[in-house]
Amino acid sequence: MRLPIILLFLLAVISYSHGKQPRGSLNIFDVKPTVGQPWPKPQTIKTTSQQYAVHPSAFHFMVNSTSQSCDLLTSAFDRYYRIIFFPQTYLNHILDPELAKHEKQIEPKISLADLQDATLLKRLNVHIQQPCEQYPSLESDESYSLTIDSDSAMLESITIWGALRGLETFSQIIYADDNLGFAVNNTMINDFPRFKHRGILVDTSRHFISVKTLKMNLEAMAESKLNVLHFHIVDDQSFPYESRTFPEISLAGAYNQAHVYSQDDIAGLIEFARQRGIRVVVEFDSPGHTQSWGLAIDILTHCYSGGKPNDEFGPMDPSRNTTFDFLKKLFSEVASVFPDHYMHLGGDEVDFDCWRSNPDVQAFMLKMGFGTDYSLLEQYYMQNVVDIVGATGKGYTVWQEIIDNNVTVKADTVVEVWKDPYPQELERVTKLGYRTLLSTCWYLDYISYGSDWVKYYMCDPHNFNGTDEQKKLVVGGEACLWGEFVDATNLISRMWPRAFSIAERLWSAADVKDPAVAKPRFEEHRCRYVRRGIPASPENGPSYCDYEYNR
Amino acid sequence: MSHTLHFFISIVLCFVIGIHRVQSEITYIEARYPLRGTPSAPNAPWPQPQYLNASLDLTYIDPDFFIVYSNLRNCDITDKAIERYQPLFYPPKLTIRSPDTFDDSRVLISVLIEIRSKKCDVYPDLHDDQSYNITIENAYGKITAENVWGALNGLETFSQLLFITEDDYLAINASVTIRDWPRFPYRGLLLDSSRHFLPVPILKQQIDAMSYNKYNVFHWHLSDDQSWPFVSKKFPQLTEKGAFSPDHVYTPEDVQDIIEHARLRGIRTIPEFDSPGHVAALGRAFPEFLTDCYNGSTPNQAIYSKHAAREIIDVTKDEVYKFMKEFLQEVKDTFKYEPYIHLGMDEVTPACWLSNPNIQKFLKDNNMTNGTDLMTHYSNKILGIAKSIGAKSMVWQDPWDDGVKLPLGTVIGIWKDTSLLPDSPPWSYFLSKATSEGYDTVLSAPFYLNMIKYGKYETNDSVMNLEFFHWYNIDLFANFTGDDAARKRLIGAETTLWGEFVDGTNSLSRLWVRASGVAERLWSSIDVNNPEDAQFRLDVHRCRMLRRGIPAAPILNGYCGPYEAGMKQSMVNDPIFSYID
Repeated sequence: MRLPIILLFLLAVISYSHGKQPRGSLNIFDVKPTVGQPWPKPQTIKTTSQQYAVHPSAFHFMVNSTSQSCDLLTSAFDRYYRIIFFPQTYLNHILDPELAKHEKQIEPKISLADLQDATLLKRLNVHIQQPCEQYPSLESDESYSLTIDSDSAMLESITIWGALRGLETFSQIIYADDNLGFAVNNTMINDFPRFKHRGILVDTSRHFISVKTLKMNLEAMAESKLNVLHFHIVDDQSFPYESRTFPEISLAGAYNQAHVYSQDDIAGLIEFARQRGIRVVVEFDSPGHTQSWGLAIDILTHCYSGGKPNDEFGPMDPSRNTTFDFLKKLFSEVASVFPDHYMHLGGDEVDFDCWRSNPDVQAFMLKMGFGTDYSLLEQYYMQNVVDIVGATGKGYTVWQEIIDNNVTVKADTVVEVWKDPYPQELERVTKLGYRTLLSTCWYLDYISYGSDWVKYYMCDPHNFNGTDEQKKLVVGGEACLWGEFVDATNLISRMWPRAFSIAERLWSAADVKDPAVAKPRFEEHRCRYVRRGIPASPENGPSYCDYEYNR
Repeated sequence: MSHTLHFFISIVLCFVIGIHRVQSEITYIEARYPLRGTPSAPNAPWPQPQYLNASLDLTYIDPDFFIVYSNLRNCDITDKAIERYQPLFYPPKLTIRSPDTFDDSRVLISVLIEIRSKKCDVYPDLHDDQSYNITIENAYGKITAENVWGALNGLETFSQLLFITEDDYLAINASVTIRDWPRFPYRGLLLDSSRHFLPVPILKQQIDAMSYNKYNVFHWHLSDDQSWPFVSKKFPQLTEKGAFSPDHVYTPEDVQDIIEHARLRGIRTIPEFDSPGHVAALGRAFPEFLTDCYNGSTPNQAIYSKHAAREIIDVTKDEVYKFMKEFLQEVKDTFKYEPYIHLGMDEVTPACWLSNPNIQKFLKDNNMTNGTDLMTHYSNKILGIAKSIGAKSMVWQDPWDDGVKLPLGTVIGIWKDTSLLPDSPPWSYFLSKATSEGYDTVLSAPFYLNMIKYGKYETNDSVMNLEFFHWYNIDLFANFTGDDAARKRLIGAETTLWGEFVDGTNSLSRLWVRASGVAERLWSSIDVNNPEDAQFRLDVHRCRMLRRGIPAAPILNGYCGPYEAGMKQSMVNDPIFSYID
């Protein structure tokens, strides 16, 4: 979704005149990072000052004898062991195993013998009630509880997804300690998300984003308990999805053949996401935003000027049955490739000029009795598309225009609100009884100078007038990093840590909303990312991390 | 001249596109706003040379036989440059085929670097001739320059003329004539190692990127309130107390490593040690140097927004000058080739000074009345110390525009502007005034690249990247009121990346390719000023920087090649271009 182009020539916030600190705040430790506090903040957390030492050669993840288990859990154990004890080598380990083989083994600073007098945390027992599902869904239960009060800690959850969230929290509350090496405090946590859909939109059409970078971003999402990758995979500019049914689309519509996602790439991403309890919701936006599709297949509207086609193309051509025949085949493939129940169908920003110019479309309008109301044609198109996708058994997510345009959609449709004023739109969409997502206030591509995470932190999806029932229909939101000025050179450092704000807003309790209180925890989490190899950029002015990013 | 240039570039482009599809591309932001401007040749140099004439036909390079050599024997600058450019000529991980199917006349055999002075200079100077010529004719190329620094500029341009065709041959125009020189002799980049620590490998990549854009001064802001990362041999307590941590320091070896890295690329390193303000980190090592600020008769009281409890150097204390003399001597010895030290002197508000009874007495005893008098006293002392140890001084404009009479010969950095300080006159006012008074000046006010904003610049029928459009269109002499002599005293400009919101995670991608826009403004002819055309050339240059391991961020939609960040053939983080052990 693009906001209308506006001339954004705002002067940046002037707080640092010469690139300098404002007068009166010369204390360099304006923000002292917390130690061993998780992000997003758990619903309830109680800690005492009692410390346990945690040592790599004397700690084990265990599956409780009555617990359900599966490959998801055992591979998560491998990951979290490394995250906790060898964070600096972790990222290569998951993204570039070849490179990781050559890495030097890091020796723990404190040997087990040094810890004779310390109380050791020896194991984390995991207990999962339900058999593992293969894929997470919008309905998944992600709650967990974590108890650390003896040498055996306990992590309990209903589902594997809750266990994954709990493992992440567990890895975050363990901290480096001068005397103990790694330590954790006596802790009781009961935790669950406030919203079920906590998403990140990545746009791989404006710029291609390498699979490796997408995986790094998925890892970063998991470390903030975000659980939906909204994969805006194609758009006007390029079509990097390699279709089995229509390989010609990416042959003509990708930037070039180095800039495509093969079926293997897609399967790898979905698996990488699944391992982290992240859903991949793919978006095939139409009828607008489809210029790249039309390079290979004659589905777009031919625009006319002076009574003749002018070599330009508009949105999909709804006047031709062939358009829908094509979509049936494509979406049936997409439905089988992407396991999530939801597919995002776009539907935003349809420009009527080209439709208006085309005599066949005009004739079709007449035949259908639409008069000159092209929004009826748009409605007709989307109705066909949602019916096509509905017939595959999938549900769908759509941008708000579809509902604004009175298209009849299935009851389980999720509507994504992206326009301002969003409170009115949320009120309207939930009144109609649809489940709703908010992204308006979380357009991370809109960069500005200074600590702009605060602005994102202050936005709340329940900030509208509505009944409790309406509020319940808001299932979450998404941070959108549209790709005009973003590629793999800057995607990660632009997304992180700014997306922390959305992560906490969507996970933590509604009253966790004071940025001044959150800031020290934010700082710790930023440095946690850097330590784990993710280049999350500084957002709160001058600072440092124990490990700095140097590549 | 520039007409010739555009003419030839576009002919070359048509030719090249005809045979070999360009391997990168930028595209529109929205379909209804197609990009305007002339697409670029795949080997268009950046910044654009003053005069360039290139033939339509191509010649090819055989990596196994092509040699670059110079008329200087055993000159580290040229020898190391030739070695350094090998992976730039032949990007590792990309396939380059030998042109075995071509006849010899279509193979470039060698390039001679001819330095007319026959001298192997040690360190670049502001007044050096930076010009060079390139000719390529009949299978031989030649770069001629007065000195090694011009030769480095020529070698950089030559390296940019090479490109890999779609069928994997390394090609260059068969006949090339370039005559090139910079519009401004001083083309600086300021990096701030105090607000965030910038690890040495990142600094080296920044310096590499500077050399790819013909920047020639690295202004290293090495101390400030937040941290003091520069390890002093004489005063180890500076980093022991003033650095973020023992890991966040530049050892003497690191500093020499950086100076040498820059020197070999024809880049000066000017250190900045800012005082008497911005010294909180210094004050952690030497608390006694700071002024006790008073609230009425109570010392060490902050009155926030006016002054902190203790801040800025107490200019009445002799031990301050004793320290400064010894420390600046060490700085001078450390940066041994560089004549200039940047002494800061910005943003000193006298409220704290004037609140202090000792200073009030000092004023009375010395027939002084105000903060300007104190600043005059301090700057006289410090500039005198600098002079006594044989250093030349650069300062920010503040003391000068507060009325302190600085000796001519002090280089003034203009940073103030209405856009940064709402009550300030525009930078053009300061620039006109300082140059008219006879000071050499360096302009950084319009080039604060740490300030970021999202934006699209919209005309009636096209959309551009707003930031690029903005930086690229800065006219350094806008509203300039000085005479021709004053005009010449604007020796150049500095792109500044203050460090509040950048560190190793983002400094490269935040600065590049944005800083390249400024680079062309400072190097190329004033009439190279069409942003619609330039955006295409800049995109070619961005992809070139990616091939050299610099994660330069995009200014528009599009793509480069199979070497983009994160791809299998990515040069970003390749050991050849990153400096990780």
